[in-house]
Amino acid sequence: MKLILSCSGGVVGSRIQAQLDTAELGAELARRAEAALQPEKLAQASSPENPLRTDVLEYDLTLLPEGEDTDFRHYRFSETSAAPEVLEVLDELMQEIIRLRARRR
Amino acid sequence: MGYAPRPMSYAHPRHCILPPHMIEAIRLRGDAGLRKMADGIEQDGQRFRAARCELMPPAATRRTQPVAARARIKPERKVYDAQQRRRLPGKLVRAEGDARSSDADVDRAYDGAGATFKLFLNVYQRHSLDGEGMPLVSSVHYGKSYNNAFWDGEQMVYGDGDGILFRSFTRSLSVIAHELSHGVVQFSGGLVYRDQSGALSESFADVFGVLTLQYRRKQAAHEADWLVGKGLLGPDVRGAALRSLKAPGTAYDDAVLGKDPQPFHMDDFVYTSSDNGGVHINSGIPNHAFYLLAQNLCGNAWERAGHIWYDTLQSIDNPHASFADWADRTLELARERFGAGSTEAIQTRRSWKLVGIAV
Repeated sequence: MKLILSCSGGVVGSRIQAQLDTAELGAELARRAEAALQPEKLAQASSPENPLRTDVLEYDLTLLPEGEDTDFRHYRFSETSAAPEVLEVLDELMQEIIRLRARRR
Repeated sequence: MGYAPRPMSYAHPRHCILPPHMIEAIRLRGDAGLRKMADGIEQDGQRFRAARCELMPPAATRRTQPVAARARIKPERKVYDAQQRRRLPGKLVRAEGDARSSDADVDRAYDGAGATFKLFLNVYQRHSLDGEGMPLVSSVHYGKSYNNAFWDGEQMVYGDGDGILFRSFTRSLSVIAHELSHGVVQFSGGLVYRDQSGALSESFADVFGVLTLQYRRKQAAHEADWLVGKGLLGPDVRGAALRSLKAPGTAYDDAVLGKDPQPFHMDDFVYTSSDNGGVHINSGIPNHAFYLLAQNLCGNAWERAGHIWYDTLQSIDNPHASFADWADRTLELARERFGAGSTEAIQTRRSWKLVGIAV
């Protein structure tokens, strides 16, 4: 699964974005990412935001076309509208991005 | 369909079509039923006809009455352990009056909530976030290596940080007080969390975050560092904190995290669609205005400057307030409280002028 993931907002207000290929992240994480980042689960995450919540993270996720699928699928949602299993995978993917960048620092 | 307006209510005596800004205000200030209605309108994307425009029920816009006798008033704190899951609140690990735990994050969340409670009670006579003794609920260890802290409308939530970019978010009292201050904004009528009103919400939270720290340390304005989130950045991150009220735009400059994007003047106002229209970016402008006022007034920032800002939140009654609306109100209140020709009023006007806002 190839994707572009961006995480912004939060109490910090910064933005980190990267392109990832889950095949390069280890079999276990790749399996969980493919199970969690399914179009129907991500579509559910794009429900209206609760306006009382402040400093929450916002995700911008694009699933890139692979194989016979030629469509780009794009989702934008906040952490308060996504399912816990989706968020837990996104946390791990963000950690991979941060680790890789920190190594190159 | 007709109905009789209720005495002393906010009922609007006619049917109406709700424009987007009004829907936002309902979602911000209405009760659960009204918010659900507003969500439905937004989801449908259709014009909503024949709606009863009960915009602002009294409970949502309540202005709190100052607490007369505060000697025996205590906070009611609860700290939960989310056990590194993304589910709230988690397991209760410390309640009010319990002994210190063996977990530093639990104790910092508990103590930080207590310090914030004290500032609002002792200085502004406010009994907890809602003015009516609302329990202060926190969850720590939220998510795995989670790089954030937030207010969810009912409680505070803190991540442990990943140890690379951030350490645990409970390590900073200014961040704990920042999150709780969002609760104060919410229960004071609220500010729509987008564009300038959202940046005012962020700024209020930053200002009362640093004031909580200064109040606990008994630091005068000139003795404080005016940093939000000092001690949170990871060991190799180039920077001092998340934000600086003294020098917005200088808190960090790092290869991974990027550069602190905050402006301190309207000339550098950032127009963006991300971060809800730059709420954490443009908050640098009112943040710096507050810093200038406190610094020029000398003494303790939570006293005269803090009162002007707190009273502004209590009285502005405009969830879409712009920086100029907020600035105008601060000047009116400085004149009311201290006199038209007072140092406080003159310095309030001057502070806004220095960040590019004429009042």
